[in-house]
Amino acid sequence: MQSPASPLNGASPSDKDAVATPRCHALADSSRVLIPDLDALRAGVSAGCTRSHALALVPDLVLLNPDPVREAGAFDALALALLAYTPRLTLAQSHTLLLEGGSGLRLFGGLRALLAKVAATVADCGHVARIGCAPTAWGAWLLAQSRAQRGPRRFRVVQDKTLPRVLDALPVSLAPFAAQHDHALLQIGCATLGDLRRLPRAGVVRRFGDGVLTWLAQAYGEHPDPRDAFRAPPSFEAALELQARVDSADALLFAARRLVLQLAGWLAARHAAVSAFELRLEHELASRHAPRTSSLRIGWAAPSRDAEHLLWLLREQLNQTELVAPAIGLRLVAADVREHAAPSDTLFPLPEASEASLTQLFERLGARLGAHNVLQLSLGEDHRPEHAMHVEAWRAATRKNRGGPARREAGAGGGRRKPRHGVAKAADGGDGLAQAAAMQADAAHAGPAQAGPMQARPLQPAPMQTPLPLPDVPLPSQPRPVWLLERPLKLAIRGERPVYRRVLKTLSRPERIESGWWDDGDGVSRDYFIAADDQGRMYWVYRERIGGQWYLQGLFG
Amino acid sequence: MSTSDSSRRSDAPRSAFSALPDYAELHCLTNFTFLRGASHPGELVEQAIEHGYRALAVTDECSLAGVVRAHSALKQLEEERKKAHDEAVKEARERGEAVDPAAIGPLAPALHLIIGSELNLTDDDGEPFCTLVALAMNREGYGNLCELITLARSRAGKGSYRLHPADFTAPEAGFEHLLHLRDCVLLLVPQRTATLVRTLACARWLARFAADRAWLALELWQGGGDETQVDALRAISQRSGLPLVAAGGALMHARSRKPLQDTLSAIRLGRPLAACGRELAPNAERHLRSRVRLAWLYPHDTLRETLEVARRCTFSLDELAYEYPEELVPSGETPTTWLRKLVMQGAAERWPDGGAHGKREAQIKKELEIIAELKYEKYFLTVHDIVRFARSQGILCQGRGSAANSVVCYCLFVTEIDPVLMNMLVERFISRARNEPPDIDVDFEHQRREEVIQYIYWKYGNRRAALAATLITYRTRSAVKEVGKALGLDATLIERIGKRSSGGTGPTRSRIIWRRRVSRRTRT
Repeated sequence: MQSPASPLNGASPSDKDAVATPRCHALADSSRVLIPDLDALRAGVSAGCTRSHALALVPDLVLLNPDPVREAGAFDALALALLAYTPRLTLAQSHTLLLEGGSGLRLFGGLRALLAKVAATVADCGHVARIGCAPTAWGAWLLAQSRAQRGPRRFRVVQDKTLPRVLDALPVSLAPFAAQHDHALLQIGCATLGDLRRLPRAGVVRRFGDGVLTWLAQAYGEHPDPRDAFRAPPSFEAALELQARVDSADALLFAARRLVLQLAGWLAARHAAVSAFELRLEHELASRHAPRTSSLRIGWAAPSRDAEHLLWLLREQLNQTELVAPAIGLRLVAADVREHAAPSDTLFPLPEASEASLTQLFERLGARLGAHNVLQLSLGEDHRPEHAMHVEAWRAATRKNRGGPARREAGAGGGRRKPRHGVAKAADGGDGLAQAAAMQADAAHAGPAQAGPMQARPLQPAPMQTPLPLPDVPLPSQPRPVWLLERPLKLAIRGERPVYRRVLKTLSRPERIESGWWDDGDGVSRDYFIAADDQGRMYWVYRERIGGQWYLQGLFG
Repeated sequence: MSTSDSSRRSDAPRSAFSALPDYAELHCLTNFTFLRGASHPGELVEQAIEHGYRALAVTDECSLAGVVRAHSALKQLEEERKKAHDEAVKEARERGEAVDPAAIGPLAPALHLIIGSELNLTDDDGEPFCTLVALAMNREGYGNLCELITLARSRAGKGSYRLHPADFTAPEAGFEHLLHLRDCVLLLVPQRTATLVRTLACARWLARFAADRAWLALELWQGGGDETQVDALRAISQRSGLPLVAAGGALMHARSRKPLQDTLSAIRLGRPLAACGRELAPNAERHLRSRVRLAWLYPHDTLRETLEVARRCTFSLDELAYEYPEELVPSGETPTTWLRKLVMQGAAERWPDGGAHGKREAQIKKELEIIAELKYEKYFLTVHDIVRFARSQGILCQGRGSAANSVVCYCLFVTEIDPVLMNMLVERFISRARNEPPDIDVDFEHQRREEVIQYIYWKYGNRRAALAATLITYRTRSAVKEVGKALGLDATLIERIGKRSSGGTGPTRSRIIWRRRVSRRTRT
């Protein structure tokens, strides 16, 4: 049993896109006009009228020759873009695409929604489509071909029961063999498909050949109609020639949009995702020194195949780049194609940010602000504090790193329990960081409640009357601040106490760090203290063991 | 047994004016814990004396390798000090002053050397269980500790050991006498990466079988968490019943050794220093610190407790003496009579013309007298037994060195030179004045040496016989190579430096023979 298929009738190849010029264009072969554009139509030129007639109606009509190669290319491109909606897509005659949409109806939210999406994609690619939907492939094809698109509905959807009635009413001239037998059919008074069906079968076979009956049977759903699906090419590369010179980012985006859609469709067909693509621009030779091509590379962290996301990133990038010269051609090359694993949906999705959407947020921030402006702190293996905390450009954690060493998003605030732990533990000791990260992973699974309050009460002795339960943690070390100065600041001394705007008082015992003697010049020999001023601000200061100079190294948030 | 008063947290006063508390270092590693310790045993002893410690425990990891040198270094230092003191007294007398020996450069109380070992226990899964420092209290404890170390080492490959908690509570067959490792003081050193709950569990485990001789060690290395650690360990001490004692966990004798210690760690890890990261110690606090600093860092009651521990450990290596196997002497004889018999038998064989008479007899008599007085009969009997076996198998063997001076050796067929004929002086070999056992070196035919070794193992069993280990040290070239790698220098540069400093045809190995005897009393 066939599921409903909806064919499209691609109206025109790319050179007939709406461009704001007063000229009219028409596609014509040697003698007749094939397809006029809207302006020409309004002026009275219709398909099938002679060239001279058309020129008489519209004097400055531009007649273009059809370019089958380009037409085929555009058709393929459109097919590629539509692969996002169904894997079973067939190219049929007279610029028609057949999509078998039955299996994806639920995913896309119903038949009408699917058809609307398809129409939107086609429009994005710069084409106009007539869409019909029927239970059989030929039936849908016929519906799309028919011009009887009157009525409020945008699409023509025909169900099983009504299919014979609707097809019966269609003119026989729509049939693919109509060109051959046009005259003959007219002469025997067969005007609609219904008439054709009522003709005696033996006679039809004798006159018109076997194919007619088979075709009819397939159209009416009585005969199977297997089709070969359109296969996406193994590698993706799409090019687009622009009508006119483009030198603004917006226009470029508009043009690049259809390329991205093709990419998305291709990715969907191959169950792949991509994490970077390159947009190559061909420039018109403005001068001898102007470059011929330039390229724009868009990359992001997590592989994605969401067209909207890609377009968003492209837009951000384009907004920031200046074209060296007006572009006349675009080429999209997708590098780094990988297996796509879609995030699985939970039964009760929580409203908080999921890992994937956080990643997307950071990618967008990076695209807007520049990748080097989104930073993360990471832990280095060194005792010296300035070498232990690295600030580097953000990059998404790979799957292996979940629960690995602390990865704290710069500025990303609370939300789930996991990041909250991370931010709270950002104030944890240097030595305890590795353990804190391990605890973080444990906390996400087991969730002991004691770890939280333990961190909040650092240096209080346990009251001896009621023995508290010992926390199941290793000995915590002295807390370290997240905000470290790039260069330690030398402090003045007043009466043996260091001064940073106000006199500081040390609160803790010294933490001695002597390391790095092999790094000539970077050797460190210091006693670190937590100090506070009389207004309660906490600082991390150190005193050099040799020399006794006081320095400020960090601030406790 | 003193219990620590944990309800009163005593803050260390900062002033140095109060009398410095006495201290005994209970946890200290020498460079015989290869690639961890960075100081020679002699240096550690010297430094401890200089700081005025009451006692120093040399506790290498699962080994007693460092104690011998520490012991001899201590002896030597004591002698020197005594000599210097005596000289000073003499000078003062010569100058004509009325002299009170005690007033002249006070002779500080001698440093008491404690023998012990650090043991890292792993449970059955291979996870670390706890770290114990075992200190021998007396001769019996020392024997137990030696056996435990041998057991642990024999279970694993060369250079490593395996010890389980069960070895203390339910030792395997044949080692029942090691149950609870009696006559040893046990210090529980909390592992830095273990949780507090875990440490409490270990403390309770230890308290169950060694409550009267176990302590919980507090080691403060100024790592930033000192105050929390003191509180936490006091809580654990109170709950488990183990008193808290201060310990240093020293890896070197002075702070200036830290670069060397870091380099050794880098060599041990096989990485350049810059890549070692946190595996290196964060600071140089793990050395023998001055008492001023200790008084500032540690609560004073824990410092006092170290003296209590030191008081319990009274074992000294001087107590060890050679103990010989019993089976050498057949029943009905004493070692003296048996030796005399063998000597006479041998003399008859050596001088078939008339046996021992005149000069020979006199000499034999003299020697046997000395031997009997110094009680070295069994030593000769032991050597005789081995030589007899070798000769019975036709294996070539000969004694050399000062043993050639001894007519007893000649008669026992240990040596081949007639000392009477050659007019040799027996005092070169053995004499009352020397006060140490004689040394008999016997060379065996190289190809068949193994048979003799097997005979010894066969006769005494492999729990009572052992090969003396050879200790090799880094020579210039290998040291340069290793240190260069650790510092991350270019390989060709290292080679060039190495070639220049070794200067010649390659390094000569100097062999330092370190004898290790199984000091377990013989079975009767």
